[in-house]
Amino acid sequence: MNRVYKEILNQLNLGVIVFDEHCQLLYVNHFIRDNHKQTVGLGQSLFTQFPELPEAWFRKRVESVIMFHNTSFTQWQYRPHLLNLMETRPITGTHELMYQNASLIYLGHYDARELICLVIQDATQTALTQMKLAKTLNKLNQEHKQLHTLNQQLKEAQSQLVQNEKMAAVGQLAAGVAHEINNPMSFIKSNIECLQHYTQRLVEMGHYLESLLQKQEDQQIIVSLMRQKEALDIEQIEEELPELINETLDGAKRIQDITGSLRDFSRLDSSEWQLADIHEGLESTLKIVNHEIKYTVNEIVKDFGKLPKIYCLPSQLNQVFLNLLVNASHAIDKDGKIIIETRFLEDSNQITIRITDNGAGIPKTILSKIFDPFFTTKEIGTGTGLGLSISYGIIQAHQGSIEVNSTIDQGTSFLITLPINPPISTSLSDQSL
Amino acid sequence: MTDTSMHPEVPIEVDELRKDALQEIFNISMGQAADSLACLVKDRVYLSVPQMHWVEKSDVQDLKAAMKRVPKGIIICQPFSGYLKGEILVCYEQGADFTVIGESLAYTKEQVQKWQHELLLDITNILGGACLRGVADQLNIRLEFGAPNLIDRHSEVTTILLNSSSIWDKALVMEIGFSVQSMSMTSDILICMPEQYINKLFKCIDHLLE
Ligand SMILES: Nc1ncnc2c1ncn2[C@@H]1O[C@H](COP(=O)(O)OP(=O)(O)OP(=O)(O)O)[C@@H](O)[C@H]1O
Ligand SMILES: [Mg+2]
Repeated sequence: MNRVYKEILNQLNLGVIVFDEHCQLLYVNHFIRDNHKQTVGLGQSLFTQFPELPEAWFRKRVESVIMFHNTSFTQWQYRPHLLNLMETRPITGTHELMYQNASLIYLGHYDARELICLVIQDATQTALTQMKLAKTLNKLNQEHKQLHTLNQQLKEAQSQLVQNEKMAAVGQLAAGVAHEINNPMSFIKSNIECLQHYTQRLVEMGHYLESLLQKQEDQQIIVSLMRQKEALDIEQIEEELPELINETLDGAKRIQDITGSLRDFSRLDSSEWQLADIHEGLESTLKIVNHEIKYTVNEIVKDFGKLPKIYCLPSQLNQVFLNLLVNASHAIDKDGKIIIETRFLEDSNQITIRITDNGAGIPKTILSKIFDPFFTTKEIGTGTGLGLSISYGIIQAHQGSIEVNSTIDQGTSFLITLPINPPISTSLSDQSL
Repeated sequence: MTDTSMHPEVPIEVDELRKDALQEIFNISMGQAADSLACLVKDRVYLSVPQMHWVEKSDVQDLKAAMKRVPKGIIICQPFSGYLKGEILVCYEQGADFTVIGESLAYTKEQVQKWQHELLLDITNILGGACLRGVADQLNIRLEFGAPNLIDRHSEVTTILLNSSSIWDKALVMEIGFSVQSMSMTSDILICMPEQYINKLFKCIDHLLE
């Protein structure tokens, strides 16, 4: 019967090792002998026969198994190669060592010895399949993440496109309105100029008539003339008339200025890349925003350097300046000062535009978010949170950069750097502005 | 002690005598387990008096309410079989320090970090063996353990227990608190047995009571 048991043990597709509480080797079955690299000798220490076994840890396990009369387990995930057993497939296998699950079993007390059995199960197939699965899953996860970010970027780009288009439409509308106003305005202005000359002449004519009348004898006529003059308050009229007309003329001129800069700002012809003067853009933008910022901003310092014309989309850049100036004015409570500096960096063929305010500043915690679409700290309905993200997009399309520097309670400074001759990008020039 | 947590509708005939005997058997068993665990890890080991809960799966809230606390964390289960059949669930909450207990099992500090899961599997195995060995000896029955498995990393044990697609309906759940002085935290052991084995369990107890 004993031989039958032995045969069964040898035929098992499991490794079986029996040893005592001192880890002295008593039995190994064929599975172990056949797959271990070294020949195994009985009667020796387990650890000389299997030097790969971590001794302290293993002895502790043996101790606990004896103490609790139970079984202890190891898994291939944590101890892939408890023993240096070779993979069972020398041809189609891809790994040298066998992945193993093991059980450490308490057998009992025989002949004044505690007997322990280590059973090794080949888990190579499972392990390889699982690792492959894990790898694939990992890859899938990564791809999923990438897709997600791509999607996000797409959404952002889309919202920016929509906004750009909206701005373009508004720009065109503004330019159209400006044009419509400009025509009647020019004849109003020239008519007023005409009126100025005519009234002057009429007044002169009055004076002349009066002096003629003064010279004749009939006092009656002079008295009634004076009375009439007084009744009609002619003297006052004469005094105020030039002033009135001057003021009107001034108003008309200002309207013309505004419509002119509105047209400049969203020039119908500026949808194409062209050489443009940044200072002109800044000036016309300042005129546009003046009415919005003049209540809080007392001083606008224009520290303009000498700039060459740069190749750009002028109306888009004006859009950026507008966003920055309006943001600056919003950050200011009172006594505001905005400094606009422009410089030419000859070495790198770039220009810089710096717009600095003395407003509330931006907290560090949100500094990284202000260029995100829809990020706003303003009340609902006040800000869309698109201003800076659009500006960022426009500057990027110009191959430039926009940076922010801010100190709480001191102010904020935006620095735009633009190349004079950017390699033409397609993303914005294709748009119908 | 146990009556409060007893489900009123549990059909199993559980008379006071049997219940008390079962409780007593577990109490003795825990005492022995704590002693031998202390000897192994060379530290003070606490095992609380087991709380018996008779649970019906349809009443999640009852178990939750009856349990001393509902732990949440790494959950390891270990099946046992033989004369009785069931599972041990151990929940290790985040923040426990296993360095000392790991060292007593010959894990270095780094290994405790790196192989925490294996260490927890081993601790579970030892705990399960320790707690049930005494029960098996007293009842004079055969019990064997399967390999422990990590089944969740951050769930409440009740969520795992009451998973609606699991196959049990009624069960006995023994709730035991386990802590080692150096661990600075209590872990929770739940020994769970489905209804059909409770009857076998009581047969053994009847034997003892005779
Ligand atoms: N000069 C600045 N000073 C202080 N905070 C600023 C300044 N510029 C921008 N910010 C902050 O950045 C946020 C985003 O600005 P952005 O121009 O993108 O949106 P918005 O001004 O809130 O709304 P929108 O411009 O669409 O009307 C603002 O809400 C504000 O908190
Ligand atoms: Mg804005």
